[in-house]
Amino acid sequence: MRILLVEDEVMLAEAVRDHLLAAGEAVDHTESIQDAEIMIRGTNYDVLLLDLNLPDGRGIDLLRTLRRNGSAMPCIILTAQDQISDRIEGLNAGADDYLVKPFDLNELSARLSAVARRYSGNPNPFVALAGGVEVDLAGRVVMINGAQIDVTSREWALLDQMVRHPGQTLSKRQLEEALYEFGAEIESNTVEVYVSRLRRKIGKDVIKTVRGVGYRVGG
Amino acid sequence: MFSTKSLQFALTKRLTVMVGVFWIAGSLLADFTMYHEMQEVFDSSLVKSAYRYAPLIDDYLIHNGSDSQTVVVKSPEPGEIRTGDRGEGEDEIGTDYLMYQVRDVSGRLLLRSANAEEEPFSAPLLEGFHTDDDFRIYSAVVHDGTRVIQVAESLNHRHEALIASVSAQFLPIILLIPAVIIGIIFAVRQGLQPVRRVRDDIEARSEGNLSPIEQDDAPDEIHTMITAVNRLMEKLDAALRAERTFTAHSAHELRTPIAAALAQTQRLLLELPRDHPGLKRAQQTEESLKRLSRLSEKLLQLARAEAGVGTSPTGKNQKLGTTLGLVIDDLERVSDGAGRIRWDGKNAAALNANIDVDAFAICMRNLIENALKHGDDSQPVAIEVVGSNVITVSNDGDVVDPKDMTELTARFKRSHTKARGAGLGLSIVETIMRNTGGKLTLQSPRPGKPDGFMAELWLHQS
Repeated sequence: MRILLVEDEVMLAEAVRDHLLAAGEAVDHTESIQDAEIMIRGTNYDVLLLDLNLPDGRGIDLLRTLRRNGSAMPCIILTAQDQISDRIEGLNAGADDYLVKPFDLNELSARLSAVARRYSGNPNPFVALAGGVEVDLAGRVVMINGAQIDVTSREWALLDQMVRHPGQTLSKRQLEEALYEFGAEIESNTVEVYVSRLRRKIGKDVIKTVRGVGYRVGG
Repeated sequence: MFSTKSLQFALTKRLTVMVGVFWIAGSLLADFTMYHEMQEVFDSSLVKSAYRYAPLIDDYLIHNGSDSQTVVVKSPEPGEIRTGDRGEGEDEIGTDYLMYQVRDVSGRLLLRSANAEEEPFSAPLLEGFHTDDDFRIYSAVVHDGTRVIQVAESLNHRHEALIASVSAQFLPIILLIPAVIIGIIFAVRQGLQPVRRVRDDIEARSEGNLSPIEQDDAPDEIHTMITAVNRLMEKLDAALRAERTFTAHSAHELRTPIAAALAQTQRLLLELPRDHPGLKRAQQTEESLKRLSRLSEKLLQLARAEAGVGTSPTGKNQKLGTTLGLVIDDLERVSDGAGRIRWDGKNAAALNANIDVDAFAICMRNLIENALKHGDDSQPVAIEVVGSNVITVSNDGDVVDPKDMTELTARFKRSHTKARGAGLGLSIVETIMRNTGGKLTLQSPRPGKPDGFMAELWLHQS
């Protein structure tokens, strides 16, 4: 998943980013609403992690603007306000979920997965693929005929992105966005390399190549 | 009935006494005046009678007089003067109250009326009035100063007339006094209606309600007082609002660095090799940070409760079902609550009360956390909405000692439990209930069960 983290507390943002990166997500971080708006215009994010109190305004106003402009980007609010009215206001403004600071990093990962699953149209975290392959999106586990196999963070990020959009052909560009955080260097054949590695682990028939367009899982 | 210390009682009592005193004084003055007027009328009657009798007596003595004997003139018998009269017989004649004696200058009694005594009156033979113990007498010197006509009236008659007049005046007054008192009570009650409305308005308020007192129809006497009280409440409200804003900002300022420290510590825990000597220290730091987070949350909630947070900002009932659902949803996600909360949502839509949603959420969160912490781990915590304003939170577990029950809502009291916690939860709930006019009741064992604990939240409805 490609995630935009809007958080002005640098220490917290760094820890969150490192945690999500370690889990194979691509994370872009900014500390202001103004920068966030620019980044959202230029990139398709899968989830927005939004702090409510930011130096140049309220995060909730950014969310309202996004929803008014028709954006359906999933959003999780990160708030230091413990008052339920703030959460209700956030949910009414179009947030999908919220986390009250301080939160557990594993809780954050679970919420991210739940929201992403909801948006993929399949709230069931267990997805069965061809060749006896089963993917547990919540537990980040891949199994073949019940036996767990190891996948790296980058491999997982790629597979996760495709499994969340079953039957849908994703372009190389879309898959690259899931792999890299902002500013990271992108090799021209990176996606092909990771698809090849995944095919070696889970079988050739799970990920299909749609020539000239991209890759697809299922359908 | 009203209290003897009430303004209504004091006003009624004073008005009744004042009206009574002035009424009696006025009546006495009227009686005094009437007495004198009556005396004048009676005296005038004596004078007129004396001079009217004079020619008649002359004529009578010429025809019936005697040099040696006193002539006695009888009063007419009933019916005797009815000839050609249009009177009504006995009623017309009535009782003869006047009597007379005719004496010569030597004092010899020449003539007297039948009702006059044989003894001469005690009055001197001089023109004018004289009063003795029994009679009021007028002496008229007539017949060229050779004869004195003395017309007398019994003093008893005069007293009877006076008493009859005074009685006729006072009897209706005595009968009217209870009616006047009732009238005064009613008038005072009506007059004090605006004061009573202000009193009821203040009395019906909960501690946290600092909205202005309505004073549209308040009389001038209390208008100033209400304005002063409203101004004071406005200042108090501003001070409490500033305190609430401060605690809200404090929550933000405290939570953010704790969140950063906790997140960094959790990253450290994930990055350290399993056999690293610093791993245990990092775990302890994580646990301490979580405890610090919980404690700061409770202290900020308590500060908010102490600052008077509570009543609905609109001053009216508001729906609370969604808020309750959110709180339960929140707690179901944490490890203590996962799978342990039993809540069927029944009656949630009807739940409404005059309470701020944040204050309500704080109460419910504390009650449910309390039940999750202190209840049996293997048993569910049941949440029920009873009617439209009562919520019960009950859990399994040992019966709480009755001695400890009274201390559960005291601050930093954790009873005899090993469960973690600041010992502030129930105290916070009770403070908010006090602010909003609600009530928190605690029972152990639960009603109808041999064990467990139940907290009942009675929300105030306006």
